[in-house]
Amino acid sequence: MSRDEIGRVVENYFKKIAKLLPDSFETEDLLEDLKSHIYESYNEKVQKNPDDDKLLLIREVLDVLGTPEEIAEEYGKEQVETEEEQNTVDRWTYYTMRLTLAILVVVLASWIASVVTEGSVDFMFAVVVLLAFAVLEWVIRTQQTKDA
Amino acid sequence: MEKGPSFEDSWKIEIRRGILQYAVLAIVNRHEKGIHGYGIARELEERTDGLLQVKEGTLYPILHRLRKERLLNVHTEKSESGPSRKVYVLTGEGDRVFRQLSILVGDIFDKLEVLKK
Repeated sequence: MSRDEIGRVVENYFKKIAKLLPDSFETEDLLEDLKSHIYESYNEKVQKNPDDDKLLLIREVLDVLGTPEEIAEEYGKEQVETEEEQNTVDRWTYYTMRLTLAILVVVLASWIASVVTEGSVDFMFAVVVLLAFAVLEWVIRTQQTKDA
Repeated sequence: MEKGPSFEDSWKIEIRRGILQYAVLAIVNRHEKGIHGYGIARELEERTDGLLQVKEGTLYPILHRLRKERLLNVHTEKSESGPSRKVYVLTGEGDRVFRQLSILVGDIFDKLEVLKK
């Protein structure tokens, strides 16, 4: 069996995996790992069974390695889990920043209202009213986002 | 009507996934100087008598995930004949997580034994 034919089988295998995965540095990294794995597994098989059909041996190696679909599926699961964890962290940072900003705006607006009206509008009263409006606005907006 | 995997098969798939990440950490932990991907696959097959029925290629996304989580470090080892290969070693955090998980796994199996009685 020619080396070319074995090379073609391996190349087709890699093409299928590459097609199923995003074009990224991580995919390149994964393909590199798989390449070195195939090389070692194939060499070990050839050493143990030097008289066996080489094409059969490489097919055995690829069979144990898994189909491109199986590898891509596992890759997808690991990516999704990592992204979900990242998204949770991002979401909490976003909410904390929004809340801080809302409180700052409420306090500033209340202070201005109190100063401009020369104390006719009580500062604490303004803070409570504006905060109530801010909460109301947030509830309505959340509801609208859910409906959409 | 097309029948999906049986309850038993789905359960096996789910439990295998979690165990596999732990098993990879356990194997890397046994090799202070590190171990390459192919070695992990071999050891996993030999030491568990193929119990986990792992398709070897699916180990690499797991290894990448563990690297991302900073539980594993990697360095490249040059090979005289073939392509260079990556050697995985446990990080300090990986060692801590592995110890914690080992306690948890032990506890889980102990409690399950009690439940069976």
